[in-house]
Amino acid sequence: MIHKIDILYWRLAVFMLVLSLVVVRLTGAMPVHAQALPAFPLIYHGTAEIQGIPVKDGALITARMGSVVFGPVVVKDGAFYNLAVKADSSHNKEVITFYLQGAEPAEQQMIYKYVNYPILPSAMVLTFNSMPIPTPTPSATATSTPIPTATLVPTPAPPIPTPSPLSPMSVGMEIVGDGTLSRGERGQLRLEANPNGHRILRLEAIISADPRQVKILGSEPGDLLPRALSGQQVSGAAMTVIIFQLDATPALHRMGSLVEVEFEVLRDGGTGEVKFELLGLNAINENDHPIAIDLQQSEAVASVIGFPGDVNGDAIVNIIDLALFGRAFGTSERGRYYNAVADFNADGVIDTLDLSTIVYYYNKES
Amino acid sequence: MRYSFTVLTAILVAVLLMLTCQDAPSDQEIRASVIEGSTVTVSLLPARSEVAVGDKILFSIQVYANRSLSAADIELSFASQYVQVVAFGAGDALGPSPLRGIDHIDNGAGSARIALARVGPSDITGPVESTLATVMLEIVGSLADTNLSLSISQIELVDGKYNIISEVIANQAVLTSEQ
Repeated sequence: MIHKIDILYWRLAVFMLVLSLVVVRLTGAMPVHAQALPAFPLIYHGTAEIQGIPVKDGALITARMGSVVFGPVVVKDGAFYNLAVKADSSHNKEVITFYLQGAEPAEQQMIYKYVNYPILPSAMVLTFNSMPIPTPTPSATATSTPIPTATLVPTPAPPIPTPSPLSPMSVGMEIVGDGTLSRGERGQLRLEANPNGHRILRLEAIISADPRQVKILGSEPGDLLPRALSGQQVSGAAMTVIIFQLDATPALHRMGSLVEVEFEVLRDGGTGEVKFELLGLNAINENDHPIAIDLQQSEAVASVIGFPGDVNGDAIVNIIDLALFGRAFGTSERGRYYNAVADFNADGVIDTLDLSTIVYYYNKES
Repeated sequence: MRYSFTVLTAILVAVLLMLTCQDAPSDQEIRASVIEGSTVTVSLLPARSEVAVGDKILFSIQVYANRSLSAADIELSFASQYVQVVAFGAGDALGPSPLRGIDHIDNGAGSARIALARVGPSDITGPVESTLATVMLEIVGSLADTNLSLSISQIELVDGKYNIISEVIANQAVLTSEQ
């Protein structure tokens, strides 16, 4: 009898083991064969100048790698943003050349590096020798040839309509609401755009802020990307957002939201503001080509009310704040009692400089 | 086999019941019980009570509390035609070298204020019976016709849990002219 029960238990144990292996395999917990990861673009931004003078607004900058052209991006205030270069690994270590108006090469070149993970954009200064002169289109010149007599002139074939090129997608960034926040409060940052008829299939954005001032909490696709899957990577206060549309968006011609980012203000308004910067933006259309972007505004600023010294955030600097400050006094960032809120000058040490701040604001109410 | 399974189940149920039925006090309840403790008393104790013009008298501001302290903001008021504050310093109630948030003497208006805070974490246990601060006064006017009172016009104490202590009784000191 006991022998039979033992066999039964053994069979049950083996069955459970097999079953768990099957379940683990089906749910993906087992390692699977590595799949080729998609390439991520190298994004370039910076300034463009001709012999030390900023390139005029509206000029176009492109990047070329072999026969492949990337861009263009539009120069504004002497700067360009979001020039995305992406290719597969076979182009690794190829030279990237930058062109002004598609003709004038820059003195600087870059080497393409295939990456399958998001990286921060590279800042550069592109220097050109001159603004290329547009090639004159041949025009008919008047000649003194006599008017031909009635000869049959073949009727020209009606021109084949070519699709008119779309304007670059205009993009800006703004703080939702009145842009006034206090420490501990959550705010929203919106990346707005008018696609100008472009159909967006994929979007990658890199937004940064001072990690001592704000903490980026997360992001969501905006109303322009209704059928999107999004992913994000937050490192300090730099965030990379990647959004995939399940299918390309319709060709819209209206302002809307691309990405909405939620953040939290960490400090009182010692500097009076928190600045967000759009470091990179890369939009891909339905044909897997980059969409030209006209960046209207790459910065957004939120005003922070309150003042340093209010350690407990009750809008008044009083003896409780001094007590909390005293607790952290003399510590540095790795110290057990270090309190970043009491480090008013954000130098990583809570010392007499910070004490002078709390003394200055003592008894003040916001 | 079956017996051990029953025993194990019973133990598991008992542990779960113990965990769910524990009535642990919340942080708020703990804080409330601390704040609602007995009143804290602060007294001005002069080194001597009979004085003459030109004398310098040291006062100690003593605190009697049933809990630890992390900071104090004390304002004194006095009749400036009779006394002037020479020095206002920290005692030992807030550790050996507390921070000074405010250290202000206005002999014209007859007020002096000091805000002190302990450096480092507060010791959250144990009563305090020690000197919060010391004041050195100089007698500048004759007290022949009057008794001079020195009082604490405003005081805020912060306990070891960084809450303001709501009930603080402050006793004044009276000086008389030396016979």
